[in-house]
Amino acid sequence: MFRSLLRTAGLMLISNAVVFTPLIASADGDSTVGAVVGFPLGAFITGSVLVSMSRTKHKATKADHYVKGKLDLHDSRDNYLRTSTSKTKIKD
Amino acid sequence: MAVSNISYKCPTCGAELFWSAEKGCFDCIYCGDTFSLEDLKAAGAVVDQPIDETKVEHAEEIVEGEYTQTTDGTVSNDFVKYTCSHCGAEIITDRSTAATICVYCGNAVIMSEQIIADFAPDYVIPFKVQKNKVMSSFKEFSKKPLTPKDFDCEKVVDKMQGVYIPFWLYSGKCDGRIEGEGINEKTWTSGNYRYTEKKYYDIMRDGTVNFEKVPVDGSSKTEDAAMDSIEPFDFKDMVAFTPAYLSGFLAERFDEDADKCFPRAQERIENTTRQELEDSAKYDTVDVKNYQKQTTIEKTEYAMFPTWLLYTTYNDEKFFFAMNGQTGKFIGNLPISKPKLILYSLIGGIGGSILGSIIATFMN
Repeated sequence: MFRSLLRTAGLMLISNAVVFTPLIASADGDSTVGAVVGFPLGAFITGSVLVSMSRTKHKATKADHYVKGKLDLHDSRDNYLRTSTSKTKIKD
Repeated sequence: MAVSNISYKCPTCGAELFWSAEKGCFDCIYCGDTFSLEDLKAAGAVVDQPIDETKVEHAEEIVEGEYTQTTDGTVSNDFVKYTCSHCGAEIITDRSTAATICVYCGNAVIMSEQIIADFAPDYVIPFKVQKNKVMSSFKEFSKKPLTPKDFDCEKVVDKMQGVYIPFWLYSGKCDGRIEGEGINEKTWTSGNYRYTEKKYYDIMRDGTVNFEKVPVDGSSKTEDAAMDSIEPFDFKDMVAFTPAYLSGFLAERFDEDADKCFPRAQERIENTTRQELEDSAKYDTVDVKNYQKQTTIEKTEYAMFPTWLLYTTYNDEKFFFAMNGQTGKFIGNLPISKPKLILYSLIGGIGGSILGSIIATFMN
């Protein structure tokens, strides 16, 4: 299953590169790069969503439905540690 | 004299009674009369007393290799033999089958030895979804974008069975403690720059979450993921167990005990407790570095829950579907049409390309 998924993903990437590499080479704008990146992403997301619609058997990992009452909180701690700030240039 | 397999007779005509999911009562298919459990008790058709264990008829062991399949369609590698109390025919079935239907006379047969002593369930949720609704629900369920065009529900179903599946219900509590970092994030723009500020806190939460009746199926023959997926069951319909509810359906008794099934309940309980503790810390992100937990089970009960099981074959591949016999929830992995998958993925890819180029242009 995992191997098959890897094979499919690899094939998609190769096909994408073959089709869009000439486009990237001749591209004079970012829109072509956006299109190249968007294609496999769009295909992968669409495929994954549709496959997940056909697969409804999942192992349960939580018991949220069977919680009785609320969380009984006995103790808590919140100590400030530090602050970090980063900046990103968004325009030239 | 040994108590033969249990069956219930119509107080009016003496014919066999079956539980009607549609009417929510016992139904005589011959005279058409319907009865509640109380009616049957009043008429003496159901005795409100435990089965006398000393008089129960036990399954007959069979010679190895004598039979290659069961007569009632149950899946088995471990055959035993019962005698139908109506027609005297041999019923070859699995060792853990608790109720079945005699293939020769069509009467309901409940194996009393499978529902007494340690095997006696505490509760049962009676069937609410009737058989004729299962196929229409299956057709509706199979209408997915990637389902092959020639996947004809009517043709692919090999076997459809109403089965009571044994479930363990765990009640108790989980004491949990998380330690880690809570992070609050703030973003703003000034001039040509976007600023992101993150404030970090050392956090700890210690608390208890109580759980009631976390279900885990106790049958090795049903897929765990499938039984997990048909949840939840609505416990408001759950009643004290009476064998009469099994009449007309197949039933399995547990073959995996409460201790063996407990890790599955424990994992779910501890995951939910961790989530509750994380949610109680009001941060944008909680990064848990350490989680300590202790689950204590205070009560374990045994119940039988209704399911419709469908076994299908498509292109020589076996598929299994299950439906919650109370709520009608359908689950299963449908076959996938590869041409459809490629077509839709290509369409999605083209959509992604257009969207990608728009975003790239916009960001410039």
